[in-house]
Amino acid sequence: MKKSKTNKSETEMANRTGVLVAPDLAQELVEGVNGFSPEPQLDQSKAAEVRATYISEGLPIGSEPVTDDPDMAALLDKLGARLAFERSGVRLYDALIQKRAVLAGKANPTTADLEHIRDEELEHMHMLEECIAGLGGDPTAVTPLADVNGVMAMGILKVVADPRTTISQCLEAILTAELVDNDCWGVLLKMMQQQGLDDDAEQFEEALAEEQEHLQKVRGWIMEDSGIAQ
Amino acid sequence: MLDISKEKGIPLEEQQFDWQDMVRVPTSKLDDDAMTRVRIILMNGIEANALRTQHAFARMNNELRLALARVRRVEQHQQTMVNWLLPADLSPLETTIAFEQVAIEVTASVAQHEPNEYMAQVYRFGLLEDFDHMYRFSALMDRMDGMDSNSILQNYTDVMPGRPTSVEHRAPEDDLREHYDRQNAAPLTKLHAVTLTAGEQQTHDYYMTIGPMFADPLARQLYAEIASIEEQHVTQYESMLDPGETMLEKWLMHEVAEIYNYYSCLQYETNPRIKSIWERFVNYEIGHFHFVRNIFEKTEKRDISEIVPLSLPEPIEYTKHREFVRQVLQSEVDLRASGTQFIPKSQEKKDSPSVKYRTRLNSKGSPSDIVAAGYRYKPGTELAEIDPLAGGAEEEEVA
Repeated sequence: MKKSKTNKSETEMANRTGVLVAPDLAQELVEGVNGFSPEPQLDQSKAAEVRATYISEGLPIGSEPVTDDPDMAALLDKLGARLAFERSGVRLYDALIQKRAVLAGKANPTTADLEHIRDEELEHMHMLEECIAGLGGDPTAVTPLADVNGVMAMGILKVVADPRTTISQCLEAILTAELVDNDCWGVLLKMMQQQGLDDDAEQFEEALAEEQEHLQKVRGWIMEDSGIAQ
Repeated sequence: MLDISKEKGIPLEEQQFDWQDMVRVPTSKLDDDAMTRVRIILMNGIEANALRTQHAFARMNNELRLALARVRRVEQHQQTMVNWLLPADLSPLETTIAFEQVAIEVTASVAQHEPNEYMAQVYRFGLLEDFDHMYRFSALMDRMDGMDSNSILQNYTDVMPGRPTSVEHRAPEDDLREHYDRQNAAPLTKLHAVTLTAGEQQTHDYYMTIGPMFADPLARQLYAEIASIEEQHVTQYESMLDPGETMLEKWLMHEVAEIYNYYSCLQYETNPRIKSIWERFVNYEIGHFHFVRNIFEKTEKRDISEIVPLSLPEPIEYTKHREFVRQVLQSEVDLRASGTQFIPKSQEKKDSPSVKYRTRLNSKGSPSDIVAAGYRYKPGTELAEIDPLAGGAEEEEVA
């Protein structure tokens, strides 16, 4: 078969998702919808009943680490979640560093800025491993909260890994991670202090300060990227 | 039209890939035409069907095993290249909406071009069921994720009730259809049956794969319910294929169906990057056709013109079929199946196998009814206040 020719105009791409891209077609759609569909009713009580049946079964997503002390189990769950989050955080920054290196340019953050944060995330991860092991826990176990955090982070990792996303779009995703991370470190620190784990708490305070710095930096880069004077 | 007996295509031994060639930068969910996505999904289904059918042959025929394995290896890489054109930001539910758009627009085109009236009736019957699935999944997308399915459909396809999914559940004896006669059927009839069987089976397999990925219990139930209908559709469409065809005859027809489908995609494609893939694969499939043709002629000592069309029929139309679908909806939504035939719902007996079957299945509620209770599609989701088509807020319009 002979090679086909390509029309130049066919190469033009534009966003096609809204109704205003083809208002005539959309009008046809809406007119048909109004003629053939039921009267709108936002009540979803039947759907809620189905969901209630499953929620009422009360089966958990998984169990907390086994220990005689419920407070310690709750702490290990939280520690496991932070460990998983920091571990993924290292990979998240690795991906952004690779993208930054390819998309060379003068805009912030620089590769060095990102490497600095990435290295601190790795230090936090190692600190958490030590802390969990020191408390008699298993740093390789996936705790329920770690699992839930993993589900939450799926979208963040996907955004950064996609070769089509920009640094600016990736920073929005990373901001989500840093905001959550900041608050969770704060909660963790308080739990450690309440349980009298002062030595670990001291290290955690340092980690929280570093995380706060990460958040400030990411916020600043987003402001800068959005053309907002600081 | 393309004369496949004269076209040489690309010989099987020259059909080669590397990983970068196979895994391209995907299409854009936002910018590519919805019909490009429709073609990608259908062709993934066509290739999946080629693999499935050829594996079945290999399990029943020792002599053909090597030949089948050679062709199948290339088909698998073709499928990868095609399917990997879908982007990572297209969620499983968004992909589902696109799958149903394939089912509606491709079946509508097939139903209008099918020369056999009985077969055309079967396609129209199936069409109204997939049409309803679109409505149910759109309601799920709106009410679970707060998203608008029309951002995927791009105004081509309607979102409104069809034959209610809750009444589509039938006993197996009401899902079988009469098959075409291999000696007298028009070539297009055979190509249509292969195409629709492929499309529906990939839809079933896709829903069975992604259904458990949903967290929401109602979404999990809805996928379970609609996957069950897709299995019925595979049963329906595959029963239209003549079981009297020899294995080689079937293989040959499947290769022609692949040429026909890639050729149809090529005629309508607007994205040049994707168009070049369709063009390459038309030539690959012509190569497969000649490879199988040689085996067929040596083994069966028959002329292939008895079996397959040498000149391809009119391509599948990748466009909107709104008027046709609405017309079918108005006139045939109340049809039900009875054995291989279709009857008005008023003639369906209360103790018929299908009524008993679906009453049992729906006895604790129907997920498709529940998810779309009182659902009417609205641009921007049912929560939106602004009607962009009216150019302002609805409230202002009323005032």
